[in-house]
Amino acid sequence: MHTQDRQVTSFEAFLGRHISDQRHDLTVRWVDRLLEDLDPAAGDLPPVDDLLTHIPVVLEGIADYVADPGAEALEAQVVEDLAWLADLRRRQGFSLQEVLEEYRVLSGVLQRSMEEAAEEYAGRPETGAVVRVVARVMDSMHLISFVTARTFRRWRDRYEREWHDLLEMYGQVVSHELGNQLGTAQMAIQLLRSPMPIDEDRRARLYEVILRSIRGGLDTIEDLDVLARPLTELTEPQGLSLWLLTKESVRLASSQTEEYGVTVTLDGEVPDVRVPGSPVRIALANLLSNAVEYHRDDGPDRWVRVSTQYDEESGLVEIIVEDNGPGVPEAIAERVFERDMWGPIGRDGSGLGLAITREVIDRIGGSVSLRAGSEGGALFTLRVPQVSRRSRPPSGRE
Amino acid sequence: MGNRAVLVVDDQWTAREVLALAFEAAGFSVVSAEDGDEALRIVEERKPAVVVTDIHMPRMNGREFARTLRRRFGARSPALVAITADHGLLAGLREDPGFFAVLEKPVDTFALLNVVREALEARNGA
Repeated sequence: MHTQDRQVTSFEAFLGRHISDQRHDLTVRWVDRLLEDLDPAAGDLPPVDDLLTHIPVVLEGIADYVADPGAEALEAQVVEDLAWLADLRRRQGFSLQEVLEEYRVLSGVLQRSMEEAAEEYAGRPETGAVVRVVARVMDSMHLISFVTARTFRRWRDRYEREWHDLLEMYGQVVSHELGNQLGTAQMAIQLLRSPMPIDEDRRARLYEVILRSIRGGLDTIEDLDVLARPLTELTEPQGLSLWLLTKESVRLASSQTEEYGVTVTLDGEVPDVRVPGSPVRIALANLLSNAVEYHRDDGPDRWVRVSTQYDEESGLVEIIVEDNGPGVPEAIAERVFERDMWGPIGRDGSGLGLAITREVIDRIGGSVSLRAGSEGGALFTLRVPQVSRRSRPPSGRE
Repeated sequence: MGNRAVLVVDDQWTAREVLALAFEAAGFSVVSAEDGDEALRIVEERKPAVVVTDIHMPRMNGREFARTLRRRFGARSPALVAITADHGLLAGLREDPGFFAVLEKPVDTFALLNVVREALEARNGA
């Protein structure tokens, strides 16, 4: 209760204090409203802990502004928390529209709070004071929406710039790779058609060169499938079931391994979490394709194993792709992901796949690494934030 | 006859193989390496008259390889022919006295054979 003599305390100051004192309760009330409105089966719960931490700071700023708009600028007080929250929600896969809708609910909670304050205020507040506080609360809500939208937009602008650079870089690489592969096939055909003495063994080798060059070219084109996807698939990935993603990826990889005699399996239980759909699908397809391509040559028992685990504390999902192929020397384990490391040593894939994998995974705050596996093959570890929206994301405040 | 050994250096198997087959068909003796380090070892052991090298290679690119070759073998260095698909590097490479010739990919097989023959003549003192 903050009943005051209105001769001493203006309604603006009274409401400001009311909001300030009630900021934690108002936040809880707001979160409760959000939870009521959401379908629990959809798993769309907001990050409650983070909202309970940051929204009271925002409400404190609103309270000060309502009491005295001439004091410290509202934006200076709340922009950091709002921008951080907007970035958090974006990373969790919420759209701008969804987040703005939540703030609309917050506006309703504040409206109810104003009504309560008016009832508690000694006597009837002056009409002018009521108009002023309503205008200030509306200003505040406008600022919240503006900062949130600006944060989403800045991120999208940055991403589009990076995406443009990436396209340009891939264009150069594809031109280089396809030029090499087609040029090699052309040389082989020139030799086959020449009057030079070429015995049967050499003819067979030339046909093999042509076949491998064409396959390398096709692999390069396949690697670029990522570029044909809508930007939003990578910038605002929808959460997909890890179980469905891994199962489907392993099934697809298995259907392509007949030629090499490689067995691809999904081992162990798969945690019931959702991960950023398109980026993980692309990464997993590339890692599996890489593992199958680099199968062992020294024996018939060729395998690729996929396993998964979820660290509830960090919120990170780990996907491990291991093979029993020749592996990668430790000295260049990190370089296989580099943009200029096109063309893996000893084989004729384009090498684009691993660079693309790192690009798309980096962009969702994940990581991909390589080390030696249990039998000397390659062991890739993909770590990605889960997007189940049921818990806090792994990243701390930035 | 003189030394007719050609060393092919390329990190891609298909490129190495097709170059090797072209030189074999033309009557050269051919050895291959998939990177600069291996190529330097082969130069030491087999002393080829000509080295045909790619420019974009892991660990040691073609220019570094050329510099190391000159530093290590001086006047005994084999004649070096570079092949590259990187148009942006062509002008710089062609001004580099370390290379006997620089060809642009895609390479015409017979033009390459002619260049290597010229390089052999130059290296073996015609």
